[in-house]
Amino acid sequence: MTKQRGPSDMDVFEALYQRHKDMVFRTALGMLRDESEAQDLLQATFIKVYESRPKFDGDEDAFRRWLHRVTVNLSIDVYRKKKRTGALSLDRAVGKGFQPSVEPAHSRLETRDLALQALDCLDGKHRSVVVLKYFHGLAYDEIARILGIPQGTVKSRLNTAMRTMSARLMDPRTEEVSDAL
Amino acid sequence: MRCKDVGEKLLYYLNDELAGEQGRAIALHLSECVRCRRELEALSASQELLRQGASSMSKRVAPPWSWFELRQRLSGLGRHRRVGIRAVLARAGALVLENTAVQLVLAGLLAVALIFGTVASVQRIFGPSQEALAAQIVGDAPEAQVLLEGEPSRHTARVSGAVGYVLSLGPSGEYILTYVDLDREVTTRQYRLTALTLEKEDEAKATGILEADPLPQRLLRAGWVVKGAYLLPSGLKIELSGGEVRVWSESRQAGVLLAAYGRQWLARVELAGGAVLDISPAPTRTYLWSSLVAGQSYDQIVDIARSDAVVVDLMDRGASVISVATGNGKMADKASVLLSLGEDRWIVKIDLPAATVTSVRDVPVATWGKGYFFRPKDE
Repeated sequence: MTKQRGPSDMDVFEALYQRHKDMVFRTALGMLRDESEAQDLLQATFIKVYESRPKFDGDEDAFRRWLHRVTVNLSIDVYRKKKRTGALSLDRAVGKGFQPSVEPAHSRLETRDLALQALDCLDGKHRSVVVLKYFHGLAYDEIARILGIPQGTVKSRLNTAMRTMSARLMDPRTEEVSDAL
Repeated sequence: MRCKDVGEKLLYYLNDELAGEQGRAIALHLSECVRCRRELEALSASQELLRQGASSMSKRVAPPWSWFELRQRLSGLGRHRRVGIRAVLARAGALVLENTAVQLVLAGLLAVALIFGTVASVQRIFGPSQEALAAQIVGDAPEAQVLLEGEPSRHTARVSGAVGYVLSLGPSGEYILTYVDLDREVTTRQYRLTALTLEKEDEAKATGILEADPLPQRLLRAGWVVKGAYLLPSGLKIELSGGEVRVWSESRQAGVLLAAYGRQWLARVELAGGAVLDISPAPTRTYLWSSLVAGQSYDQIVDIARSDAVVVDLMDRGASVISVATGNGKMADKASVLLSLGEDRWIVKIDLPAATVTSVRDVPVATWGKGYFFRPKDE
């Protein structure tokens, strides 16, 4: 009788990767907005998965929560690093003397989602609750478990985030939410 | 209730998450307070936009080569992702086969592999398909990034013999169609698909659709204005038919320009279905600059372009500069100047450190035929 070859560790890891990669990518995109940074973060997250080899004994929900947390935390690290190195917004760049061409605006498109653009005014911890709630449709208690914070804190951060975003939508001069909050 | 207390609970009120008494108290306050009503309106609009964002986000997927990249990193090869993928292909000894032959072989192997539970090994033996190779070649080519002003986010490829046809979507919403020589692994032609003028009745229809939608209605009430509309080459598909490549659109979409608070927004409208698809920001200025290397300005780069005899000749004939763009990342020492003369376009490529023109090439601009089929102009 021929013995069937079972799947290797890498096969199992690949299956895990294929099952969850899009979810991780979407979180990274929501947190970082930049496609290539999101791709880098996707890699970093799964390298962490591979290296830590977490044991969830088949508990898919627990693994998914852990994966969300790793993605969010890594994103916040990247976001904080960007803030420190002073990545400029376009408007500020223009103010510093960059000179765009004069092609009429309607011939060029900026098709990034308005929602992602609006998230720009939020810091990492406020952005993460918005991404988990609206992009992944998670409930308050689930978000609380993922982030390791009380449910009341999730609600309060979401409220602050939404009020800041909506104020900014109506008036782009509204101040950003800072890490001080 | 005071406005401050109401403000902290508005989001929950909006989502019916407040118990009866609190909800009633807020409703009473809202009936008397214009400021809080406006805030509720704005919150509602934001939430709606996030839901639209979530809807478009649900279609986003990790790039198809991401697994190969990760495998490489895990095995400690540590090379740049795109070069790495080619190395994987070379190492896997990817067979150069006709498209359908590859599909049949893969299908056969897939059946065998499933029996032994080793699906992953099929990919390891053959590597990605010819379509993926064609897409990868386009993704690596500087022309794609320069024409699209950034890295393409999506490639769709078709292969016939040794020729690949790749339709790529850029970050600014434009499409290019690239022909690829799969034997030499180079791009041979590129067509840029641009936005078009909308017929007057379609322009009115697009604006009407927008104004009938609740979300834009709220925005218009808040002071946004409609500036105009044009046809978007969106949702494009590519097919091979009798050896001829065709690009077509399943849907007719218009872009309606909105302006508010010194900014412009673009609402995508489905003309056939009569729906507003999403609203995205459009820059008030165009051809966004990335970092300027060695301090060259727009004028200096145009001057470098003018040092070339072909460019001088084009300009003498009336060509004008449409845009100047510098690359970023690994293309930071390159710039391009896009010239326009009538319906024709030329791209002038510049090496910034050497301050020289490296090439001047015409870029055929595709035109749309009736029924929104695409035919390259010179075929």
